[in-house]
Amino acid sequence: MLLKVDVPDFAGLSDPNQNAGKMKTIGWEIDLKWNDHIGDLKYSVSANLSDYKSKMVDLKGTEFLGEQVKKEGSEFNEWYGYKTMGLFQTQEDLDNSAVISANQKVGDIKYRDISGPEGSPDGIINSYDRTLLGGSLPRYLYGLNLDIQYKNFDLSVMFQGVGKQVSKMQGLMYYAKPGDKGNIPKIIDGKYWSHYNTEEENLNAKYPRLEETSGSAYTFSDMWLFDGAYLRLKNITLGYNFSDKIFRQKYFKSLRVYASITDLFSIDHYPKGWDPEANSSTYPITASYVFGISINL
Amino acid sequence: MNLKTFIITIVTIIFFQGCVNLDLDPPSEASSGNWYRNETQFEMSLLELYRRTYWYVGSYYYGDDLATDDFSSRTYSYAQSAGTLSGTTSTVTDLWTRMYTGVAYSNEILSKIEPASSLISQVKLIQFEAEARFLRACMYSTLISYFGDVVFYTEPLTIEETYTLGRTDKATILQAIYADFDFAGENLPESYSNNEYSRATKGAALAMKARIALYQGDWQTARDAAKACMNLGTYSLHPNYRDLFLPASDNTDEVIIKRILSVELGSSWDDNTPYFVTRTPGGNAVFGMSWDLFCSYLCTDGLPIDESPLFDPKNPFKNRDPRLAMNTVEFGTEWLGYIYQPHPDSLKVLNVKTGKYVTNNDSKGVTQHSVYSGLIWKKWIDETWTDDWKADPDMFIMRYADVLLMYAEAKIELNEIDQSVFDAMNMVRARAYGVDKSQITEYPEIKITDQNRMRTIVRMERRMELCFEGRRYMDLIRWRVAEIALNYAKYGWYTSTVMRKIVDDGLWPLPEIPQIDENGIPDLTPIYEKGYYSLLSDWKFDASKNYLFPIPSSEILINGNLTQNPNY
Repeated sequence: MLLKVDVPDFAGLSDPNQNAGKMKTIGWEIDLKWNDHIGDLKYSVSANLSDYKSKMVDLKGTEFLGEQVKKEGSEFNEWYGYKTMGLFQTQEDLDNSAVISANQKVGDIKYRDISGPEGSPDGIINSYDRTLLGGSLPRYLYGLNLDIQYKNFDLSVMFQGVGKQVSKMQGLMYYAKPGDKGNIPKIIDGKYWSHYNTEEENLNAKYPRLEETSGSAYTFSDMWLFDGAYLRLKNITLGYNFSDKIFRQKYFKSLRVYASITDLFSIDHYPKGWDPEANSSTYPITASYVFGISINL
Repeated sequence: MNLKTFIITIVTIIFFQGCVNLDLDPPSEASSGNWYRNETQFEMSLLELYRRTYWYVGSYYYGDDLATDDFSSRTYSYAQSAGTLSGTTSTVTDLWTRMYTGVAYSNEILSKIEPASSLISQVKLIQFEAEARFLRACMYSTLISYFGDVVFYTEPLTIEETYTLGRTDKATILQAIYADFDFAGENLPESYSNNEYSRATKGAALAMKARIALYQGDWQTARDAAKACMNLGTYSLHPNYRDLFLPASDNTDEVIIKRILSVELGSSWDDNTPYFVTRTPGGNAVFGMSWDLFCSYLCTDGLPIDESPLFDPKNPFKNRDPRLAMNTVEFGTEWLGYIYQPHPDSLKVLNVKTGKYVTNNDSKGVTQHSVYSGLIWKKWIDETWTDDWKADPDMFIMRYADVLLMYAEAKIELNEIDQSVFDAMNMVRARAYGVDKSQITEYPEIKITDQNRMRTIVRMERRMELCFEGRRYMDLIRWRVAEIALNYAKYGWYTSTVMRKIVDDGLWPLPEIPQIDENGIPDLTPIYEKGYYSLLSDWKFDASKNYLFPIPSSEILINGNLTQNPNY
């Protein structure tokens, strides 16, 4: 593996490449197919499932630390950030806990103090407290095809999806007050800590108080990770073949009419309007409805 | 020997021959192996170090100011003043990386001086060496000002060394910086015949030395370096304060070193010129002057607004130091072709050119997004900004008024308050009033011998004179007053509701005269508590750690010999 050797920035150099890294990938896949018929009904079912996991083995001492890391023992591009322990509910709790900045207030995220420069918790939340938070790559990719033919009708359905994935919420999904418009994203609406809430509502709040500073809440942590698994109906097609021989022989060899829908829906945990396979800067995945006539002259 | 063996032998010889003589330096392009052979190549390399990237902090020109109490920037907050500085903050990591890129670059150039001694004249080489050492000293000055003890090296590093090098005591680095500036001061010309670039000069070396000495509290060195710069006689104050910051004054004798901007040559102010411009002429008015800075301008009697009988909160621009109305736009005056009036009831304003009334987009009565303090910047800005939204006022790194005030401050701290201190400060102040310092009836002359009072006066003078030039943050840090100034909150007008209250109570535009402390910092909290301001962003400055930036976390993780600054 070609690695960029991490040289300290004070050297004023850009990181050189080195042929050094070792990564171990273990995976498997299953592909099953069944063809049969029940009287006039011909059908075929096929399914596939695959999984792999890549572990970083030897990186010659280098580490790539960002929101996603590659370091010895981690998965390839594993999430890396703070672990959270809910929200600060009382001033007392805040006063007696490690904080990430002096500006943290009741209602902010409580981060876990994991380590420090000496290798033990030091009462300060800083980069030593970041830890591995699970793989970012999709696991258990699967697909399912179903083809049915009954007399002149044919139907094909195709599902596709990911069984397990840890995904990161993008800022636009949860940032309060984007662009000073004063709006609150639906995903956090009613679920964030607020002075205007009752104590009970605050105890049940999942998300921190609203703020627009760059630091405390929006620092990357497991607060902003969620289950990115999904199931998508990739395609469904229904067709009819005209088999009237006289009609057919007179004008053309075959005629088929069909209707096809692509990307009709997906079942996932993303907020409404977001797609598991697209991000805010790519062109969105659109559902398409196609009606067609296929003529063979 | 048969033919086959012969051919193999020949081929082998040719092949190995080629390997021995393989030239690693591509002749078709520049590389460190074949560069630094003539004067032009040295000049080109040196000029690289005057790029913007080596001369600013944060994301904008004078980006540092945005994080201070001088600026209003909607509800945005910045790590320096929001208390969120950490080893991964981009302002921190960017500054570190950019400054060290400059250091490494200067060291590389310096290491090529000796090998070029047979190719280039000794006179020229010494000048190149002086210039490279000047630039390196500037980078290290920024580094120790922000980070304290830092990694220090003066020759190109091997990769192995970068994994083990630790931090050097900043006092040691400071001496090396002085040595670099001294060498530069002795060997650089006083000026260049060609005005195309603004480059290191004798005066710049002295002035930059004074700045780092002042930042580090070494008053004697600051005094002597500033005095030596003044004695050169090369520099003088531009007669008009307002004009100094406009492109028409590009050739003024006041500026000692600057970044020359030119729209024509493709180097201009940020792409975000509209951020600084009022909305009626088409800008966004994202940034403005803060009420904190507004209130710290003195009155024409030389007293702060909470002491002067001349101050009228209903006419807060009246009887004020002229720099106030030169740095921010007075309400009801013409600005970029329109009358500027942020009053919430002013729904139409005059377009001065056409004589017609147009929608007043700078009033909260019309749009929420008029500037959140109501005070729009005037410094640096003129009509050339709005024609094509590109602007090129030269960006100052050091100017003579700063040298004069540094000299005065160093002397005041040494308690050597004499006529030369009054002269230096009065020159700066008299220029603001457009008069000579001898015309003492025309401006509030400074002539006080009490050290504490003079300290207050010089601090306020710096703030009035040098705002929006990237000096404020470091001033707050070195005066140890950031814990006061950056522990208030940013107040202003989020919507017209609070402005409505001020108007209804008959208190437009400044509801109450704030108390100004001995550092020239007003406390606006009482006005906020009476409901006349909105809270725009919370400030928090943790005095136990925020006087230094943290060392970037990634550096510490790679190099175990690097330590973090306290409490980060």
